[in-house]
Parts: sequence; structure tokens; C-alpha cells
Amino acid sequence: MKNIRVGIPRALLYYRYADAWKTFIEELGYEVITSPETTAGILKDGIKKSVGDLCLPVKTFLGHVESLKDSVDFLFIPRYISVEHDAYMCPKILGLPDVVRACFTNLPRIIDPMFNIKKDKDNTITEFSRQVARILSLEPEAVEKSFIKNSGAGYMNEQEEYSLTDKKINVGLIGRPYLLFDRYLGKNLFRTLSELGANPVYIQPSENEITEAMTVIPKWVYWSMGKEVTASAHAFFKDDKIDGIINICSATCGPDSFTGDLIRKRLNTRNKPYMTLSVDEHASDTGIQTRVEAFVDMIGKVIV
Amino acid sequence: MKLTVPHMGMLHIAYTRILRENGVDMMPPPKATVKTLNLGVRHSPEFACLPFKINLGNMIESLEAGADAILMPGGYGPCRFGYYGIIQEQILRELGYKFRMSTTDNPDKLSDLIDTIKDISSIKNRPDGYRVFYLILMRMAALDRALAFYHYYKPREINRGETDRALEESVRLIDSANTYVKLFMENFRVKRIFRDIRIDKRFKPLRIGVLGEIFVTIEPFANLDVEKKLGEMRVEIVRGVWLSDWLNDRFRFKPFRRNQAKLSALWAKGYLDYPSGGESMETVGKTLMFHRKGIDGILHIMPFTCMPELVASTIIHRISKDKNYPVLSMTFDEHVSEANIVTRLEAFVDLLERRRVERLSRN
Repeated sequence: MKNIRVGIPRALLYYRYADAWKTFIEELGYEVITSPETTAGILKDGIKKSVGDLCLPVKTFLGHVESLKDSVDFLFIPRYISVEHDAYMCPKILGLPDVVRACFTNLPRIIDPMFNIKKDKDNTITEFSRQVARILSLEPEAVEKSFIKNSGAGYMNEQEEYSLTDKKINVGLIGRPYLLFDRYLGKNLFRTLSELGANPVYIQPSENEITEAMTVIPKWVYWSMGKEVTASAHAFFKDDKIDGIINICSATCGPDSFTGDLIRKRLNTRNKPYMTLSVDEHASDTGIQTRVEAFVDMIGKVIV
Repeated sequence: MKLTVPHMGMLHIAYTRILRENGVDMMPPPKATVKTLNLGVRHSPEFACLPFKINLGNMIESLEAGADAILMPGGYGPCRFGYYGIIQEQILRELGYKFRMSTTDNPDKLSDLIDTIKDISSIKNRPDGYRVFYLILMRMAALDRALAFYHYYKPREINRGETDRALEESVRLIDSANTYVKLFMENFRVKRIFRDIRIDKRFKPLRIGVLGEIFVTIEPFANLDVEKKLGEMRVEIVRGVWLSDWLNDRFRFKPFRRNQAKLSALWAKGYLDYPSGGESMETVGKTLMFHRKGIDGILHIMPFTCMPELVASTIIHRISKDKNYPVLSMTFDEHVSEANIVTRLEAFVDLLERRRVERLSRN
């Protein structure tokens, strides 16, 4: 085939839409190249490229772009404005393609179609496909069909692995997928917990759970991911089998600074053990390890 | 019921008198001081932005001073501002204060604001609501106009401090204008007051464009009064964000002023293609506009962890590189010190001065 390579940085929304994007682009006849998993080197590159105090996940994203940009013909960085009618993505994701363009010179062409359900609910996908088609000079109809077909695929369904078990200590993990599932940024919390004999639980809240959680708090959270974090926190606090909850967030995350406050004060009515781990580029593995260990220890004492 | 609304620049001057005359027991918060900020910081989430903290401090101080109702504008993102009221109410209730909290759900919508006015005041019919609301908007515009005069005259004044006194006098005049007719007349008097200032007509000051997040840019307490500091360094300020422009974009009360957000979007094409909330579009668009208009440099002001402005800041640094155009980004939070700001401003002004000398000698 043409063998034109399209790069997808393994950061931010990759952890939500990876499978959908990959099959979508492959089906259009291109080769997909994803950047390797985050390493210290990638993060360092990202920090070098970024100006000012952008948050950790965005810096990482820039690092991934750096590692990809010389080996691909196109970069796939869609602009996700809103995926639901009542919520936005974070402002930094709204401006992501522009930020990438601002931070690099001699980039390959960026495919940056806009996905905005708020603007025009019925034609979002048509519009999205039209923009992809324009950049790649393809037939819009074919692109649309392929996108609709693949849009159901989520990020690798690892959820089953993280469901409840009969183990003694179940720890609910909440946080944005791009922190939680990035093994480097999220300090591999899943494995750390398993090694300590606790069982990490992660859920992708369903529509109903989100609606229910939003009735408990005074005003619905208008960031898609913040909403999910809040909803899974709510589900965990209600669930008797969950013994403790860890919230992992990036230190200067805007939405999380507010939803974190809501979760701590509004949702934790039963006073379950709850800990916020905020990570930034200086967070050390040992520091996180120690805190998680102490947390699990404490839960163990409470239960016995 | 004593109603209070957190400070934002000179907004309280625009509405206090008018609402009082219409039966609202208004009580603007005490002027923000270091104590206000400390109170706000102590009770806020760690990474909340500076406006949130100052607002919270305002609220606490007003409640202490006897207010028992708070009005806080809201909204639905993507900036954090829309969620301020919720978190603040929660914090204040936890501190044990008793009060009534009202938020406007959608500050972009006129009818919503009129309903809010009807709700809190003795005005009961819609036309009167409109009349009062537009008078407040006009008063805000008059205040902004006086401030624009101030920016122009301050670097050129011969007797130090004369412009500051003129601004005070103008604010007082505008404050006393409680009808449309009076306001119309006072506008002329304000113009005259400024025209009477003795200025050095041959002096050509440096011009710096001030852009950034709206609250920190227009609230002298939050930005340690950078505008006055620059004025005293004899620099003319060309401000790109005005509260009355922001209001005008939504409620169209200045017939000859273009929609600034749309105007900025035209300028920003190619650098920022979709607004990422807040004033990001204005910041990027107007940086390019000011560059074209020959303004000497840009001072970009934002609160620490501000999401929209971080995007804008990244982009305008690229513009700075592309166009060889000086841009200084200043991040404000509770730890920023006066000496730090002054030193950086002085260095920036020096740099601009040198560039100008070079440019002039080249021609």
C-alpha cells in the first residue's frame, strides 16, 4: 500500500481513544506508528520543549511528539472540544494542536480535525471526517464510515483485570486515564498495589453512575474527565467492598484542584480512607511507594 | 439582607449606587489587602487560581463585616471560573458562616442577568430591569474610558501625580451619575479633566500592550498595580482586555465597538484556531494585532495554573520568536513579590528602550 506513516503520540487522549484511532487510520490505508511508552527521556524532551508551567501530561505529550516527529509523515492530534453536550475537555486539550505547533519547528503536517458535539450535535462526525479527508485528500464519505465503525473501540479493555476480588484489601483508583495508565507518570500504581497484597480496582463509570453522582453534588462538573473521576469516586465511596480510595492527579491540574475538593468534602460521607497523590516531574518513585505502602498498611489496621 | 459581590476591578463602582437606589442593600467587600489574600489562601484548594483565592478572601471579609448574602457569577466552562461559586460556598459553610448564596447560571445570557436583578432588587418588571442593567454597563464603559485616558496621560504628565488625581476625580463623577442623561454629561467633564492635565507634548513614551487573564489584568490588587508602575516608568499602556469590552461582546451596548473576541479570532488565525476558554483568543489575536500596530512590546499577565492562559502563553512565545517581538509573561500568585515584579518590569522597559534606540539609529 502507500505506506504513508501517521504518528499518534502515546499520551493524553490516546489512553481513551487509542484503539478507535488506530483502526480508523489503518482502515484508511495508512501505517500507524505510536510513540513508545513514556520514559524519563521522553519527559525530559517534553520539558525542554515546553514554555512556562504547563501541566505534566501536556509536557509528556510534547515529549512524545518529539520522539515521533522525524519518523512520520503526518501527526494525528485531533482537537477534542467536547464529547458530550454538557461538558468540555480541559482547555489545554482544546488548544493542543496549536500548542504543539507553537512548541516545534519543522513538524510533519498535523491532522487536527475538530470534534465538537456542543456546536452541532448531529453533524459532529461528518464535520470531523470532512476535515480529516481534506487534510489527507480522501473521500469524506469513506472516512466517515470508517470512523463511525471504529468509534466504539475504547482503550485496551484492561478493566476486567481491575475488578473486585475476594482479596482482603480492595483499593479504588481514580484519576485521569492518561495518568493512571501511563506506567511512568502514574508510577505504576496498579502493580505497586498488587505487590503490597492489595487489589487495585478501576472502573469506567457508566452513564447512570455519572448521572447519579452529579445529583449528589450541587452543580454538574463540566469537564468530561473530571466528571468521570467524580463519578467513579462516588461509586467507590458507596461500595462496601472498597476499603480505600487513591486519587492520582497532576499537581497543577486545574479541574482536579476543584473536583478533588468536591470529592473530599462532599462525597466522602462515610469517612473512608482517601488519599490524593499529586505527581509532577519531580515526584520520586520511592516517595510514592512509601505513601502507598503507608496507606495500605493503615487500611489493613482498620480492617483487622 | 445585605448583599455582597466579590471585587473585580472597578465593577463595584459601576453597580453599587444604582442597585442601592433600586432597593438592594449592597455592601461591596472591603478593599482587598494582604489580609484578604491570606484568608483566601488559607481556605482554598492548593492549586486553585489567584482570582478564586482573592474572591474567597473578599467573601470572608464581607461576611465578617455583616453581609449575609453573596452573589457570584457562574457559567459552564471550560475555564474553572464557572465552578468558583460552588467550591466557595462549600468552604464558607464549612467555616460556619450563615448566608444566602445566589449564582447566575449563565452570565452570557441577558435574560438570566435581568432575572437576577429582579430577584434581588425592588424592580419587578422587565423593562426596568433592562434599563438598570444597561445603565450599569454604560457606567462600566465610562469608567474604562477614564482609565484609558489615564493610561495615555500618565507617562506624559509634567506634574507628578496629577493624572492619578484626575482619575480619582473622574471616578467620583461617574459614580455620582445615576441616570443616562447625567452620565452622558459627566463623560464630557471627565474628558475635560484629563485634557486640563499639563503634558509634555514632544515626549514619545514607549508603548506596552497589556494582555492576559481578565481578572488579574484589571484588578490592581492582584497584579500589584503593574499599570501604575509602568506609568511611573513613563511607559504608555495599551490595554487589550477591558471589562466593558467583555460585557460588550455579550450584551452589545457600545454600537461602534466591534466584537473583540471575533476580531481577535481573525487575527489569531494560524496560531490559535479555536478558543481554549478564558481570554486565550484575545491574548493571541491581540499580540499579533499590537505587533502590526507598532506597539513596542507585550506584557502578558496571568494567574498561576490558569489553564487557558497557559495555552496562550505558549503560543505567544512562539509569536515572539517568529516575529522577533518582545513578550514578557508574568505569572501572579500569592507568593509574588513587589521587588521581583519591579525588577522584571525595569529590565523589560530597558530592553524595549534599547531596541527603540537601535531602530531609530538604523533609520
